[in-house]
Amino acid sequence: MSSVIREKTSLELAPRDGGPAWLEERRRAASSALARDGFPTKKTEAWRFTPTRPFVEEATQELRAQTEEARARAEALPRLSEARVVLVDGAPVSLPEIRGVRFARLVDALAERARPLASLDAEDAFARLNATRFDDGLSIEVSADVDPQTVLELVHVATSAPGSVRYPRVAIALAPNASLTIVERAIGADEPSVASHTVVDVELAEGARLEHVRIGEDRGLSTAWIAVRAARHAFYGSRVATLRGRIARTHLEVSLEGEGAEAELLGVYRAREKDHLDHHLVVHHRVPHCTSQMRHHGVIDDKATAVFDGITVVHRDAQGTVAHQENRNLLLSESATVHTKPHLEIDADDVKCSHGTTVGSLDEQSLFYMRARGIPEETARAMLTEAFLRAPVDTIRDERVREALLELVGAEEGR
Amino acid sequence: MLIIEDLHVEVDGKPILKGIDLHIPRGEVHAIMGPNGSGKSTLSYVLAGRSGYEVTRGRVLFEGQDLLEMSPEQRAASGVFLAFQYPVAIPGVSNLQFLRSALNSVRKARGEEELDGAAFMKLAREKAKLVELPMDLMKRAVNDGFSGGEKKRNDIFQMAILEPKLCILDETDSGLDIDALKSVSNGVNALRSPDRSMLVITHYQRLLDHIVPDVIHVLSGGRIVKTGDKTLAKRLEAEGYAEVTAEGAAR
Repeated sequence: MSSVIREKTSLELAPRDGGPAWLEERRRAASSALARDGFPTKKTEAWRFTPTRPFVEEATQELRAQTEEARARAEALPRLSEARVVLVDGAPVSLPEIRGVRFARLVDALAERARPLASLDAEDAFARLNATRFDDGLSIEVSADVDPQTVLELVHVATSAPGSVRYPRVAIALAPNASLTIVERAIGADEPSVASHTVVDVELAEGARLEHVRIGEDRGLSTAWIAVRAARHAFYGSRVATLRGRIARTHLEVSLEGEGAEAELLGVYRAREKDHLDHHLVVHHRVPHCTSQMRHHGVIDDKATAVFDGITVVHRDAQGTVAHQENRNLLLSESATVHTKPHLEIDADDVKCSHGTTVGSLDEQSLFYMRARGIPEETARAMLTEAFLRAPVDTIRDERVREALLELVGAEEGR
Repeated sequence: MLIIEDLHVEVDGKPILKGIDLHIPRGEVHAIMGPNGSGKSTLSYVLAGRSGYEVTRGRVLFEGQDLLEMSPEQRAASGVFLAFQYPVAIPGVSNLQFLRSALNSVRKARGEEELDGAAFMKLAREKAKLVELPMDLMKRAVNDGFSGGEKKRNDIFQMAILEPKLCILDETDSGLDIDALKSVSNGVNALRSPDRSMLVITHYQRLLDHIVPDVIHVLSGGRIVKTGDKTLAKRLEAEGYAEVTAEGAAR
């Protein structure tokens, strides 16, 4: 359907070699699916509001070279944890020693696996592109020996070469009852035509708990596909903060596969200038008695656009499901745009589901109250905006991460 | 301190205030009483600088300055304080953060040094006693989940911190039970001083049993129809607004 786009692009679509036989087979499948279906257009429901042309036409030069420039930018970022991994153009630079955590090259780790990664079945063009072309990535295996207070920080940074693209890939697996916090930061490059297509797989065994913080400050082009599988009584806590992005698309696909599994998906986004920030969230309730919550608050300023699409699918056997969706948006300018669409697809009958969405501007009464107490209008606006974004952030367990994120949200307001 | 001359105000093209003249000298407490719809709240909002109120005639001088030319925050900085009829809840902003930001903005505008965290906390503790406001309320979000009485006490607490020159109390008694009314009134009375003027706006006489004014004005139909001393409140209570208003209009 998009042969026109394909002719124009020089994106490499041939599957890369390497890894176990099943991986090569998946790569070939992804490659031919991509050749068959091409890249989405506005007619593709999941991409109705987000343009894909800049990805396909502007960023076509695959780059895996690690440069000092990119590495230095990553190192300059204040640490959120003692345990930090920097990934330049998708490749880890150095790996810390942490009790209960095993790092490996992804291709090596995959050779030992029987079960393929869930993300390899994704029907999304950019997840397929990553599957086809990823060179290597990072495997993180966490055992129950890990200290639950552990905060592991992953910093994704891209080399600032205009028109370059890279395919970072991370696979995270938590053993039964393992628990920790992983913070991923994407700082990308200061170059609008630099693209990253990231894929993250998360597998949570019985009783495992992961708090997964993702902070997006990539000013260029980015997509991220995060595929999560949660077993019995596992907990997946997503805390996404997208603070900038020419086009930043995050797709979170959570599959609750064991009874009592829980997904708590919280997020904030802050779009300004001509940013385009897109969040797609899908939660599958496949078995009874699982809980899910989506709660995303966004502030859209200037000529920026935000997209929120939340889908909760309650499959036929998933009795006793409890699911809630909430998306609240604050428009700070006449030219700001938001497309919001939370929805539920329910095939079971004994469920408790709700959803709500709001789009509004700063409350005039609150503004006047603050000004009447002497707070200048600009400050009052910044305080109210920060307060609006604060609610989802306040729930982050680790104090240091929570404070850092609040400061990032606050610092953004102070500009 | 405050001089209002021939003030006409419209809301959505509809005249609400139709020529108010009012003079409050330094240190005096004036009360404005009036039936619902007489323009009491409009007057308080116009003085505080809320948008949506169009002044079509007249002027307001505050310490010789044109009040109507100033933004709400400039008015606050120069010493005007409005205690709201319905204090606004602001989820996500803590009371202390809010108040410290307010105080330091006001101090900065006055050319005074900003207070650091410790100095501010000391001041807050001291002033909280005045209105019997528990410290845990101060750590919560501004008025969020507060009872009616707690909100009013919080407003008076803010007044105590900001130390304004002119306090406008808009229906401060509404929604208060007798105990809350007493503690709020005690807080207000503690702030009475020869340098501070007050404008107490109320529908009922009972607030004026606690905050005893020097002068009472009766507002009706957008005009001040009668002015007298504190005994006027008793008469209004006994005879009703209609009687007193008719007498005023007949003059």
